[in-house]
Amino acid sequence: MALLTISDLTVEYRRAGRVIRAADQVSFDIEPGSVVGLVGESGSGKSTLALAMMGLLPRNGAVTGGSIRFDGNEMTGLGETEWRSVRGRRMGMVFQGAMNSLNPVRRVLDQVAEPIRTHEPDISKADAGERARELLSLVGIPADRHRAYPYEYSGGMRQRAGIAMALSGRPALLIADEPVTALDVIVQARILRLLENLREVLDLTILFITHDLGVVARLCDRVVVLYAARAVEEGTVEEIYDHPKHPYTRALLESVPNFARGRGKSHGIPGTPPSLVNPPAGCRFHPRCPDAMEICSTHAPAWSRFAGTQVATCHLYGGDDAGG
Amino acid sequence: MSVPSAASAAEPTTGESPVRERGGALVELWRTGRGKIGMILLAAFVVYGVAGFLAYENPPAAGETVEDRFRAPSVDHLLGTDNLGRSVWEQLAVGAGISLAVGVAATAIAVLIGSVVGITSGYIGGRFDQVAMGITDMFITIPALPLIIVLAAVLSRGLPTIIVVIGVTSWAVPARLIRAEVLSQRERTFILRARAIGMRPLHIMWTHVLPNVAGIVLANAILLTAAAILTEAVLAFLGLGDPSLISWGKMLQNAFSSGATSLGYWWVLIPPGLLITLMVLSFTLIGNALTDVIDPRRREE
Repeated sequence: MALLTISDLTVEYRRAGRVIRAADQVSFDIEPGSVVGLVGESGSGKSTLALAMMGLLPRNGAVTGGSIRFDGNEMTGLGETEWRSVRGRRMGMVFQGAMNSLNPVRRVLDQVAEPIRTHEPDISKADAGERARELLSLVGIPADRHRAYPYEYSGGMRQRAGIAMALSGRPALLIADEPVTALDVIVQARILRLLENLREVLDLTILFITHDLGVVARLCDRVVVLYAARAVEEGTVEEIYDHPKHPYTRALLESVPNFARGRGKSHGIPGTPPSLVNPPAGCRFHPRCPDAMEICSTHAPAWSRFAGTQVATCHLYGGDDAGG
Repeated sequence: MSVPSAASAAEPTTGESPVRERGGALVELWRTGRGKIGMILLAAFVVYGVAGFLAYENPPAAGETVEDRFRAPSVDHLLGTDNLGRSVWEQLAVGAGISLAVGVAATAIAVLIGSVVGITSGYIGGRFDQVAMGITDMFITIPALPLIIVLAAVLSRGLPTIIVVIGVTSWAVPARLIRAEVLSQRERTFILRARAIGMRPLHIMWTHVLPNVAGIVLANAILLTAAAILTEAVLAFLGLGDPSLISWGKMLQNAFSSGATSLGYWWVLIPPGLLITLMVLSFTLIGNALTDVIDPRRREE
């Protein structure tokens, strides 16, 4: 059984009397032990989905449809107290800004111990500190730096500490929202290697949110591609990378420079992502799609199933409404 | 959790961690000219006040003969005597202790109320914030001095009354200031992270919001202390202070009521006035210098 099942999840924000649908009937599963990549441009709804899964949507946002089933339990409609017992313990989250996700005036060790002490109120300060030390060593922070302040850490060390914090409550699911985006490529590679190793050592399930397809290829088993708040394609990494079906996925892959094949040339996608206040009718990608047909601007495409586990929503393939 | 290290390569730490050259806030404060002057002045007042508390009675004993009244400064009486033959130097010393005690205690009350209101209001937000800030604005717009005078006149006379009255009338501005700071802190990722690990709002306020607003609260508290000292002097001058104690404001009142001003006995009038000014100045200098030292724009990496 899947550890997490998102089905038809719709999230809306209200701002100045207008409704912005930041996630529109998105569905996907995460199997235990797998790493799923959630890919899309800025504003495609990736972070909104992550926040909805943690029950951390801002005040003006709410889940208005669909369901989030985690470990057999329905999460939509949970109260704040119930959410608190899930956050940090059943689900951990790593954030993008490695610096900003650490409190500048508190020692790293104390911050890593925080989830432990939050969820196990009876544990002694010393024991919590000891476990935090083990975690920091596990993510590769030398013991003599455990008690330092965040500003004494490099970017990579901060993100390692951020990962240690997310793991200290021993969560079943780790949600990583753009965890390597702000880091340079060398440090990125190190953090990805760390996540790969942690996955094996701790038997982690990871939802990896990123706009970087190279990162996805390296770490993930499955990929969900989002465009303008909707899922447009899903499959294994091999399926998506070898035979992208949706024109958007194809364009996204072509926009990554490939030095081995094409002498490092990349092709951008013409146009800009649509506004979510007033999204295009039909398929949301049609204004930018090289293969757009007449039907694309009037009717939203249904899901089409392909060999293996791959599904995509595009009129090119007729659509058999597989349901994603 | 006894698992082998998953870190394939430990993060290299040499040359990669930007440890900034930075002393404590006190050291930085000392480096600013204003802070240095303020701190020296304040240290002098503290020594003077403590010495006065230990060495002299409050109020100092009256002179024994009529000749002891209004003596000009001399070797016996460094700053002369007042209308009752009491040493001005001794009165100033005990007055320094009173001013400091009232200033610090009243500020502690104001900052405590202001922090609780400001932090809860800013963090909880919404309807609670609107109501709390409405009340706060009311306290800001009420003319403080007349209210303080009325309260001090109505309530029982004494030092504790003065402290409480000044404290409960000056929390509104720090509450506003702290709320504004909390609003900006609330949006930072580490607050979201704290929520993402399941911490309770109150716990988040205590461990994550408060330490980040503490610097601004301290700088503001020092400025509040200056205002509280001034208010105490005004109340004492108006005869609303503790009738059994001498303070600088009371000394000024004595100078006026005994006719020392018109008789030209400057040593009764100028020293307390000057010391009030200098003490308020010392707190103001330190407070302003500290505000600069902890300025977030200088803190940013």
